[in-house]
Amino acid sequence: MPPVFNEEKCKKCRKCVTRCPGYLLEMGENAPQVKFPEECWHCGCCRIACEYEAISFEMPLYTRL
Amino acid sequence: MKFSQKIYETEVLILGSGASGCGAAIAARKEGADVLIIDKGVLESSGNLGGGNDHFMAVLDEAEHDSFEDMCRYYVTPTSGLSRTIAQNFFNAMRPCLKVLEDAGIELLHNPDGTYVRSVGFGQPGPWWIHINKGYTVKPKLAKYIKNLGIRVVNNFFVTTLLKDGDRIAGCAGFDVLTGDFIVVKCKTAVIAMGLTAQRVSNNSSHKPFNIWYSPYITGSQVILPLEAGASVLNIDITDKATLLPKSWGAPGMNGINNMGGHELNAKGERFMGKYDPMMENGLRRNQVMGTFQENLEGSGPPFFMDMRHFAPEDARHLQYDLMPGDKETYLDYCKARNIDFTKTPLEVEISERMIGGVVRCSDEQETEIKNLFAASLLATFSCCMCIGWSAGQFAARRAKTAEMPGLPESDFEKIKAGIYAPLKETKSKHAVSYQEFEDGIRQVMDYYAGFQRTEGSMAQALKSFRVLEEYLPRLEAASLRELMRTHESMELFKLVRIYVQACMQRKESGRAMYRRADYPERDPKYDKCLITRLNADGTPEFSWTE
Repeated sequence: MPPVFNEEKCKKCRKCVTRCPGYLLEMGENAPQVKFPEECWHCGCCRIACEYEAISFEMPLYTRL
Repeated sequence: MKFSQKIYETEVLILGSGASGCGAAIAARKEGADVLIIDKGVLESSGNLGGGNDHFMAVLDEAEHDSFEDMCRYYVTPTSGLSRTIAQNFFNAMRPCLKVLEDAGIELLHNPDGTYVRSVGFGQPGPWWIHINKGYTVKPKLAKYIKNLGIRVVNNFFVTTLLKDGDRIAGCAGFDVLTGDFIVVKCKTAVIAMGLTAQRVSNNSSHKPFNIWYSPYITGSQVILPLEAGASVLNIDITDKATLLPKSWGAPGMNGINNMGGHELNAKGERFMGKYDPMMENGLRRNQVMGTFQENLEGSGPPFFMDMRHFAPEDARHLQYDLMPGDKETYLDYCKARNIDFTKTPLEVEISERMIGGVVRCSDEQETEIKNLFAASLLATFSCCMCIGWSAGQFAARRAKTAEMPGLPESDFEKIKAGIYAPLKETKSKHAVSYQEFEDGIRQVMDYYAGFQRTEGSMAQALKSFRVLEEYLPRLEAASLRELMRTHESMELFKLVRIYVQACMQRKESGRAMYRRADYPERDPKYDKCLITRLNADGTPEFSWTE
């Protein structure tokens, strides 16, 4: 369950990128991008690190089955 | 590709910055040592604690069944690998660790009379589990505390080798997963605190190997590095763990559910755990998992549920909205997606993936068979890790006061580098195998031949399949540093599962691990002892037993 970034709220501080324990994120033009979504542990460390409430989570299909 | 080389020097090196490593680093620093803590991840989010934790176990002599003797009866058993003295180390560290947590601003819940809010869990006799509020903040707060103590931190460092000077630890070597640089640390003493168990060796129903209970980025260094450096490891055959998960979602949280009184129901709506443990759901986790597995075999499920509808509304709210998100920050997102409300509907659960590991053999002073290398991560859970890490850090710091700085085996560096960078290719060959494909093979074999139920024959077949996988090892290729990191993790996992299956074949009984041997279904008192594993010069395991 990788994070979803709100580009309007993101200040591109990169804290989430450096905190991610799976090295899943890369900074894009307006916000980080999840480069390896299948390796996300959905620990929420990115959201805990974010000071701008720019990160939310959307459950993938398999978690609802 | 060219990479530079960095060398660090420290009095005490802490390998791993999860709960065990944090405990070790803080204790060593408080003893006055110069401390360097390293991890493949980042201090603020590394280890299982990176996802949070909702309880801290502490035996405090404040209630019934709350003494050191009660603790020994639970932890010091013929197959635990723990002596009374190590249990004493653990016990002695509890109050200092609680003080650190409170000083770091971690919210341990208190009753109006000032005592901690605690409950019973895991089949233990006393109310040892302190409730934590906002448990997902534990790791960042501990990280800040550690940095404020002046402990040096090296993140992004994947250790591939322990370095020795004769019979003593000299440091470690590996690579920076972001820059690729070759890194060496030289130390007087070290603590190995890299996590009791490895993940990604088995699947849950989602078949998503990173959608799991514990951190998927821990892949067996705690067992493989000491073994390869000449130390022995206990209990590889029975250090396997599993739990119940919220259906299709890798998350902890069963401790809170069980110890607050959740009822497990099978598909017929029957509360069945009385058949498997006198303490029902709040007994040994192994009994809950294997009991659920048995119900599954008999056709009484799936589905399985944890029912909390009988809770007082404030207790259900505390569990769902305070404790569970503390164990994994995204828990409420999952609840929202599945419309979960503990007061209204039972929570569907499933048997989790399994994880495997081992206990590094050590003395009562937690020194391993490698001189000046001390062992942490002897048990799982936040408290056990931090407290046993704490005592390992103390012993390491005290030894460092009199130890000389060792020499480094510099003539080995080129060989170590060659091993690290071998899979890295600018362009992958057409016969390349990815770490994903290779690891899927590991899980395919483990789940089919060495799963919750197995026999001598099925495990022998697992070893045959591993020999096929072994042929693919030279074809593992990585096109980036990130892939290089994952490839090394896969290779480490492969070493571990091969040793694990051979270790399990030594114990011809059932009842002490998260699997049942259909050919030896009963517990046998002959095996009231620990399996010792060490590696021969050719890398094959050699097994013996403790007395």
